[in-house]
Amino acid sequence: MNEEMSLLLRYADGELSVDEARKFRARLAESPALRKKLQEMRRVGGLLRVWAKGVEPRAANLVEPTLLRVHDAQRHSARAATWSCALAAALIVVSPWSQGSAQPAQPVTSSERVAPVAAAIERIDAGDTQAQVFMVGSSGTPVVWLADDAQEDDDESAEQGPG
Amino acid sequence: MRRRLFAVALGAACLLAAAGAANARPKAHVSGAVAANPLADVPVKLETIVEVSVLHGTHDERDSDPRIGSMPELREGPFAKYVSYQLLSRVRLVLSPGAKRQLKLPNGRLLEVRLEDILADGSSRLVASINRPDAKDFLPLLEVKARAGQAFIVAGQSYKRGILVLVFKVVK
Repeated sequence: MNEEMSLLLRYADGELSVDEARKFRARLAESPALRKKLQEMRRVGGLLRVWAKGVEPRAANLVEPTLLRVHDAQRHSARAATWSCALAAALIVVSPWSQGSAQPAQPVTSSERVAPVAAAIERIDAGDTQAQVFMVGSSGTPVVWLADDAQEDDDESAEQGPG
Repeated sequence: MRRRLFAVALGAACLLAAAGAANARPKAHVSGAVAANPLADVPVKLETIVEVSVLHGTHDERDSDPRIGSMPELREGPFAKYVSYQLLSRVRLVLSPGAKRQLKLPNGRLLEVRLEDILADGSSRLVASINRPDAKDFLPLLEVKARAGQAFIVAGQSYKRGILVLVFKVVK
C-alpha cells in the first residue's frame, strides 16, 4: 500500500492528527484524482471493508461485544416473555374477570413473544457521505455515524470518523 | 433451560385450567351490541410523537448538560472521544401518517422527519433526511422502525469544534 493510499485511508478513518488532516485536505483540494479516489471508495462502500480489514482487532472489539449484547438482550427478552406468559395465565385463573370469560385463549406467536428491544434501521442512503452503523447501550440503540465533509472556519475536527 | 420449561408448563397448565373453568359454568347470553368493544367505533387518532434532542459534543473540559438526562450511550464507542455534551435544543414533533416536519439544525442543515406508517404491531416507520438547501444531500434517506420508548441516534456532523448528536426518541 503506497503512502498516498495509506494517508487516504487514515484520513477517512479519522486517524490523522489535526495537522496531518489539514495538510491532507490541502492535497485533496489540489488533486482532483485524489478527491475522485476518496469519493469512489465511499460510494461503493469499499472504505468500510478496507477499514475493517486494516484494523481487524479494533473492529472485532467493536463488533463482538455488540453481537453479544444483541444476543443477551434477545435471550433476556425471550425469558421475560416466557415468565410473563406464565404469570398472565396464572392471573387469568385467579382474577374475577376470568369467571365469565368464554373467549378461547389466543395462541401467542413467536413474534409477539420476542419483541425487538431496540429501534431497527431498515434502510439508509447516505449518498456520498461515509456512514457507519453500529449499536450502543444495553438496549442496543442504533447509531448512524456520518463523516462530515463540511468545512467550518473554526472547526478543525471535520472529517474525523468514529475511529 | 429447565426453569424455562417449567415456566412454559406452568403457563400451559394454568391456561387449561382457566379454559376448563370457563366452559364449566353456564354462559350468559350476550347481545352483539353489548359484546362489541364499546371503544371500537371511537376514531383512533393515528399519530406518533418523536422527541428530537440536538446535542453538541466537544472536547471542552466542562460537565455535560444535566438536562440531557441519563444517556450511558454517550460514554461508549466514538461518543467517548468527546468530553462534554451540551443540549442545544429539544423538540417534540407530532406526526400523523404522511406528514413531515422540518427542523433547522445549528449548522444550517435541515432535518426532515416524516411518519411513513404506523404498523399493526404499534411501531412507527419513520423516514428522516438531512440536507442543506443549496448543497448536495448529506443524508438523503434514513428509514427506521421504532416503537414507543425506543430511540436511535444520528451523529457525526461537524459543528463548532465538535459534533452534533441527534437523538430521536419515540414518545408515543
